[in-house]
Amino acid sequence: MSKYSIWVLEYAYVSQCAVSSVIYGAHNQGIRKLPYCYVLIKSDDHIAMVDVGYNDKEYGRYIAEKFLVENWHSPKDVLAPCGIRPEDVDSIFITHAHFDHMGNTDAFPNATFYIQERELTKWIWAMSLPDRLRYMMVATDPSDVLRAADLARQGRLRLVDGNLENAIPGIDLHAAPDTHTYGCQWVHVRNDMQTRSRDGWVLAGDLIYVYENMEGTGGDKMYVPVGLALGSTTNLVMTTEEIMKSVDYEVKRVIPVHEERLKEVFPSRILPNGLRISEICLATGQKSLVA
Amino acid sequence: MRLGRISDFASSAPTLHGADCDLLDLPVAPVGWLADITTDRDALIRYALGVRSGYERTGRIVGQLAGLLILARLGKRFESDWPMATSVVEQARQAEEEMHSAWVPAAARHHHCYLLQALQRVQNVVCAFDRRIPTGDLLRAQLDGWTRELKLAGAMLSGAAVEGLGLMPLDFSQACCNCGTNLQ
Repeated sequence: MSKYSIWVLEYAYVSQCAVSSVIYGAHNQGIRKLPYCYVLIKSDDHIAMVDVGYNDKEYGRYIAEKFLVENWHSPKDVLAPCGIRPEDVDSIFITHAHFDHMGNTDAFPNATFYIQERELTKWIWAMSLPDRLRYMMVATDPSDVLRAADLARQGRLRLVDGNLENAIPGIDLHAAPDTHTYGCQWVHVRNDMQTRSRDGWVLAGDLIYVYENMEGTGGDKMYVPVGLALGSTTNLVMTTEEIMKSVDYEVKRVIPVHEERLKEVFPSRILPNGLRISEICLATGQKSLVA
Repeated sequence: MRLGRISDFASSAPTLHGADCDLLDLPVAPVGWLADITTDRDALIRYALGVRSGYERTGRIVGQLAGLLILARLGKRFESDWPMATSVVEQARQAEEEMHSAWVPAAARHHHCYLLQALQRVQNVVCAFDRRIPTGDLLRAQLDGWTRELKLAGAMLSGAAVEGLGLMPLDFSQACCNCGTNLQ
């Protein structure tokens, strides 16, 4: 019996992304497509997401022109093929506070958001630093923190201090301090609801961008961290080990949401708008959305 | 520098608000001031260089204060002598100094005034740190009021953004999504 269905939903993409930005040290190795996705997790009693993308109203045109992000679609459009509306979502796990992961909280009016307390406190610290240290708050938008303050006012923000088991039943949050950002977290779905799950899935956020981060670049099975670490590459590699251990080193059970090859690993459908739905697993009784 | 299209960022902001939206009190953002033919580009650039650090600092102060309000609301207490709070007070003083010391050409007066109003919203919060901070329900009401002030300040900073002059609420230069920039 599987409790949750999981889909990776593409909401935009960069057609030409430098490989070095997703694989540490892979300089002069060309370009590849980088999908921008969030994750939908659905059971009979919960509709949850991992990350929310960014708000096109505020950044879209700028990002599209400046950074070649293409084909942005709203959560309403992206969730519609799954029969879900943004207002149906009750729980959202924010892996980290970069604007392209946390920048559209306003689109989900009924959800409770979970984020690591360290992510918040360290961003406050980073924003207090002099201009010359501005790199320390790279890709964060002060107005996202402002929106989070409004979520707190509405009682829809939960700060998580470290690991949290059963944030909702069968879904655990794992802290990954000082890795891609100061207070990243990854999401472990124990789909058989067992403490030592044999049917677990990991939504890794930006801790793992693509399969090479887990499998190496030359088939050598050596972990290679992602191209951006505000923390340390050591912590990124050790977090990869922790993630892999949680799924008994079964690479397929770790979902790198920026990986274009997900469509070769999981049943997928390309929608008329050019965006992809990848079906990671289905709950008992749930019909496929991609068949 | 492409001054002909520098208001793109600000003009993309949403303009429809619900009846209870705090942002209904938002002053009208400056528009069209860059097209003033009596002001040359050098003057605009000089102005932007003058206000930029104050503009960016104010944005970061808004973010810090918003974060502090979250911690206060979820921790159910707020102490104005928290190191993070005292640091914000000092930064607000610096931002005020930077904003006021900038040279302002005639065409940018409305824009500059708008920035000062945004900063004033921030000061309204920071100045309250000097007073006794309440607890319980009164603290909640206080936090609601501060959150509203910060939302207005944040919206005004977005409204005053000018991409071509480097006045942007978010630094995208090292963002995760910047992968394509070097390919252009």
